[in-house]
Amino acid sequence: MAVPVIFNTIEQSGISVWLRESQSIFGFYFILLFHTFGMSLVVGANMVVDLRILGVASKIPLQPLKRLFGIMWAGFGLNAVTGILLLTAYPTKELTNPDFYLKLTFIGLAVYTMRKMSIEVFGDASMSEAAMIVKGKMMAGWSLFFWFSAVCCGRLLSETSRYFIYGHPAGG
Amino acid sequence: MNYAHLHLLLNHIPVIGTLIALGLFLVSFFGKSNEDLRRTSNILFATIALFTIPTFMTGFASQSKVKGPGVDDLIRRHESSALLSVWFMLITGTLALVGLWKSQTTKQPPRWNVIAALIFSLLTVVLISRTSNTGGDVRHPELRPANTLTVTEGTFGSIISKFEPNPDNFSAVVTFSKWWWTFMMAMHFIGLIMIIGTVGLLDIRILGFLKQIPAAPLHRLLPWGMLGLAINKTDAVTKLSLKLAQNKQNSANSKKLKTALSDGWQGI
Repeated sequence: MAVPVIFNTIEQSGISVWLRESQSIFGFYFILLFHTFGMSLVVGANMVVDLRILGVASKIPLQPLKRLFGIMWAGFGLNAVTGILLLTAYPTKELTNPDFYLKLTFIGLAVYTMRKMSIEVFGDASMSEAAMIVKGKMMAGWSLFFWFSAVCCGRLLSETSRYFIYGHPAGG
Repeated sequence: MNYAHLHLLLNHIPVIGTLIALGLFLVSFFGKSNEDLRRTSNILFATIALFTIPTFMTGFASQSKVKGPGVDDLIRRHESSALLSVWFMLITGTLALVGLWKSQTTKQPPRWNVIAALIFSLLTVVLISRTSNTGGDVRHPELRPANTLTVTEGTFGSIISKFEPNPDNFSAVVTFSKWWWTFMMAMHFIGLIMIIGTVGLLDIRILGFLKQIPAAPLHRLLPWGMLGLAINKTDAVTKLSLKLAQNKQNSANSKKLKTALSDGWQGI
């Protein structure tokens, strides 16, 4: 299947060229650094809540962990912004790679689980801790699976890409 | 200052440090109420394990600075010895961290931990001493037999050298598949997430945020942070063990290392 020309158009845009080729410290690697910060915040905070629901550190009261959802959303927001910028830099590389879509699917499922947990487990302040655990156990397990799968798929992107930029196959 | 200077600055720390830590550990077996002594030795082992990583890295990076007839073989011998020592030092450091963690709640670390720490610390002292000796052979020709460029292993050295990995074979094992390499990179990210999720949360709480969460129980999450650190360090040392030219003089790696050391210290 031919690679859509729109990818080339994006790659030739000023912002895409600047992101790829700029020597500025605010260029590609700066954005990648903040993408990693965002990942650590969103997945790290999720991991703490998930592990707590699954029985780790059971002396930590569950209800106050609701505050961590703010950190999760902040991390997710940071990743959405930096992710769009990274995609703008290399649209052909990412959008022709099936692994990229798998990563987005896992992120979508993980964010859906995060939102569901926020509403169904932490939404009712009158719910007992035991009830919260019963309700959240399955979600916590899936949440860990989805987030770590998304991280692994993200890491696999550089190994599975078919193109580097438009018209230039990876490794060529 | 280059990596050779740094290596000379650092390479005595594991040698002398493990001896002091082992001495304290052995003394703690005698007399009563020596928990503080054992705790001190565990803190020392864990700290020295962290210092062993930059010692290994700087040694690896300074290889190209050392030149002379027959020196390549001596460096290879030193590298093989260091490769084995660094793994034993990291295992000893990990056991020390587990001991410290366990002694928080039970005053005394569990028996299995004490026995394992004793065995590994003894082996580590032997291996580090051998590494130090092989390093001395590289830079001190006066220690070799007169007019020779090579070193003949003694009985003790020839036994240990059988267990020392060949650096090239080690590199080949780690890089045999790009998927294995990618798996290690993914584990590195997961380790990072574990550190930031657990130690980061504790830091935020100590800084006065999220006051609804009691600070004390948060320390129960620290083993997960330390597991993350262990994954990252194992992964990093494995990757840095490779003969990849880009890792040799990469200043970003040394910056990463300084940050990782402060993470580890915070964990201790």
